[in-house]
Amino acid sequence: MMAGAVRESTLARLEFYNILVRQGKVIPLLTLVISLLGFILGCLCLFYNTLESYPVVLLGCLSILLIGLVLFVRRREGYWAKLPFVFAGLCMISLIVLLFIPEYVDIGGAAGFVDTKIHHSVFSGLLLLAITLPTTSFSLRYLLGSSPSAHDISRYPLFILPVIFVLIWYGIILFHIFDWGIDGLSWGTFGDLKYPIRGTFIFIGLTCLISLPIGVGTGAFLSEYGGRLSGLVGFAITLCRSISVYILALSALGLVTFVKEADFLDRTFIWEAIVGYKLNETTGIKFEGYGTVIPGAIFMSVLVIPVIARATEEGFRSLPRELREGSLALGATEGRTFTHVLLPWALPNIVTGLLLGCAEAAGMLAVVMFLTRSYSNNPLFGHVNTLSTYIFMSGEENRFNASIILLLLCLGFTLIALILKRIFAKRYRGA
Amino acid sequence: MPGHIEVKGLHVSYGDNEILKGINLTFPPGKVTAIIGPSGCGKTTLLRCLNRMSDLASGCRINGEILLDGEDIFKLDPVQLRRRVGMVFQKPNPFPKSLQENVLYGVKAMKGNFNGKVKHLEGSLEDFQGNGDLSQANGRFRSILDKVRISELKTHVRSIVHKVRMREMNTRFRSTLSKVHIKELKTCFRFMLSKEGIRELTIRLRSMLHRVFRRQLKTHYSSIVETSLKKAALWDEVKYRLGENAYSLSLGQQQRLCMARSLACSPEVILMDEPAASLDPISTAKLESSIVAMKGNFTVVIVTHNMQEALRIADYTAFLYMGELIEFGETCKLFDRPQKERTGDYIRGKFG
Repeated sequence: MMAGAVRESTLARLEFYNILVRQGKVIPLLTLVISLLGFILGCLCLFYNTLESYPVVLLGCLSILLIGLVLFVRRREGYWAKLPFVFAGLCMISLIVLLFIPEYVDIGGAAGFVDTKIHHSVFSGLLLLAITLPTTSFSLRYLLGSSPSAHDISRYPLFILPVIFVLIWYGIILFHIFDWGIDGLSWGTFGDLKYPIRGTFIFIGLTCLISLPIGVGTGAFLSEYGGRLSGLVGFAITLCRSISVYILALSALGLVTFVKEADFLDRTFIWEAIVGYKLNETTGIKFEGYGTVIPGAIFMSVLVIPVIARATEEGFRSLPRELREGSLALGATEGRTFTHVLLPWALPNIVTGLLLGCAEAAGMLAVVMFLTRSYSNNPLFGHVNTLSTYIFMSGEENRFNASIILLLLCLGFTLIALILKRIFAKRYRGA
Repeated sequence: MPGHIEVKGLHVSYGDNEILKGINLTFPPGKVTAIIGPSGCGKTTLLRCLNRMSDLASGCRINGEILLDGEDIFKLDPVQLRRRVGMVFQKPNPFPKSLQENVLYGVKAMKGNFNGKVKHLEGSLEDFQGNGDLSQANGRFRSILDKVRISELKTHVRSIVHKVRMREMNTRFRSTLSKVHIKELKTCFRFMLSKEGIRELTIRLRSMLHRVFRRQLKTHYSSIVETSLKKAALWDEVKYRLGENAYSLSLGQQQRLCMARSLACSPEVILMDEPAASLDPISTAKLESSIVAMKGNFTVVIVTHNMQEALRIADYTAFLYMGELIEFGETCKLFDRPQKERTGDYIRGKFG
């Protein structure tokens, strides 16, 4: 009886081994185990400062081990074979990066309520988490499903972990903002905040006004004629998002400004010298140079236009072909077909694209509007303060009030986007 | 008024493939003509050429002539052509709007270019002040009035005439005016133009046209909707839910809606590309009854896979095979005594 049980268990183990090796799932299992280990180490790093850099070194050794095992097992499974190497490479890179981070990093109290000094282990923990979470989920997905392209979210329970992580992190920040910011606010009157809010709205409104026609036109054109060009638009979006906006803004502004004769800070835009001078002559409106809305809006629209263009292009590509043919067969001109049939169909996508672009623009206001003065009576051509710059430049008390307003604004944008998208989809697509 | 289509020596090729080879065909006006043939023999291509929808496909080369009422359709404006030659597609494609908006889409598309039409009308009227050359004017008048399509014109012209008080007015003109149709209005104008007072008539006609068009023609539109839905045998089912989205209808109802909206533009010819292909037998029966009711008023060209359907509704049948017209004739004669062997083979089901 005993011998039979032993034989069964060994048989079971052999069979398990057979299945694993035959299906080629040894590597995923190994990667899963190592990345789980890394994940635990990362969490530990975040909460305990004393581990320092030992976890990362450990992980680096483990990844080398993994690569060695992979090479030893020598299974070439195409897509799957790359993952352990990617994992190992990322571990190596993070190890090198972490060597350069000193033990304590001082961020100067910009956030206002966390410790100004951040320990080295936080960085190592974050890096570990960033590397191990996707690896874990990929390997788990491969183990459980037959192909890496299974879509059932309930099969990958580990996907909930990043969500929880983000919720806790953001929750702490939001709580503190509301805790310290709610005192100075009162419904109805914003007091000092009136001008920054007005500036934000002017800025976003102008950006939308410039970028919407160009973006929709580009999207419509691309869906009709562009095969390769549409890839370029996607590339433009990735480019604009990956480079820090600050660098882009500085370089753009550096190209188009010049320094006035005497005062170093009194820079102005080139086109102000041309356009603004004429404007002053004819209408008496003074264009006040740095810190105004129009050049900022033009610059921001360059960032926003690819977003809108891609969204509208997707909207137009999802059109059923027979709709267009049906409209033309009834004797409608191309222009009428566009405005009455094609555009309403693509409107949900356009609206989402526009509001996404606006949210992005709102987030980058501070970058563009550096060196603003407080406010001026002339909203379009004068110096304009926006919420982001206000947050940056004002004192302790007002900062959180403005933050709350900005948060609520972004939330409002998103909600309006969702509601409008629902309405338009229902009305114009009959869904 | 049914239109007369003639196809002469049509060669169509997409890239290197020659789809249609030398088709010579005449579609008799006011009758239903069916085009039958196995899959891929060019039936749909032929149909789309009649509407100039083949222009939408890239790489399409067309040689030959297609005449609509004696005019070469490749020289006409395609938008104007498509208002005279309507099309119903195989898969029902209603717009994602309300039923009423769907039916009125073509009508509202024709409403455009109002100022141009008025100027054209005024110009024609002023032309006749000088010389009495009316023969050229009548042709232009006819085309203008066909496009303008005001059905209440007669009441307004009556009021104009009373205001102008043309004493030399012909009594015959007065009597015809009381029961005038838009077609006879041309003869009326011919009369009025030979008298004095043409300048006042022009001014008043212009203001009348402005009033008629600028006003929301709600009654006019709703009557158009009602008549075209009745012609498509859909009115009884949807008359209480005209504001609903068109996608809430069943497939058969959607197909009839597509037919109604092409009927609303009052075309001369209606092309149908296998309209009953995706429908159940009851909807097919309703569709066919409406097609049969259209005989005499419209020329219908219907492409069908179903030979029994051709037998049921068509007066004339054309058999196409691999891009060539094998036979054309009256349906009964074609099916009973086909003259070509291949026709007989197809009818008996030797190949499909």
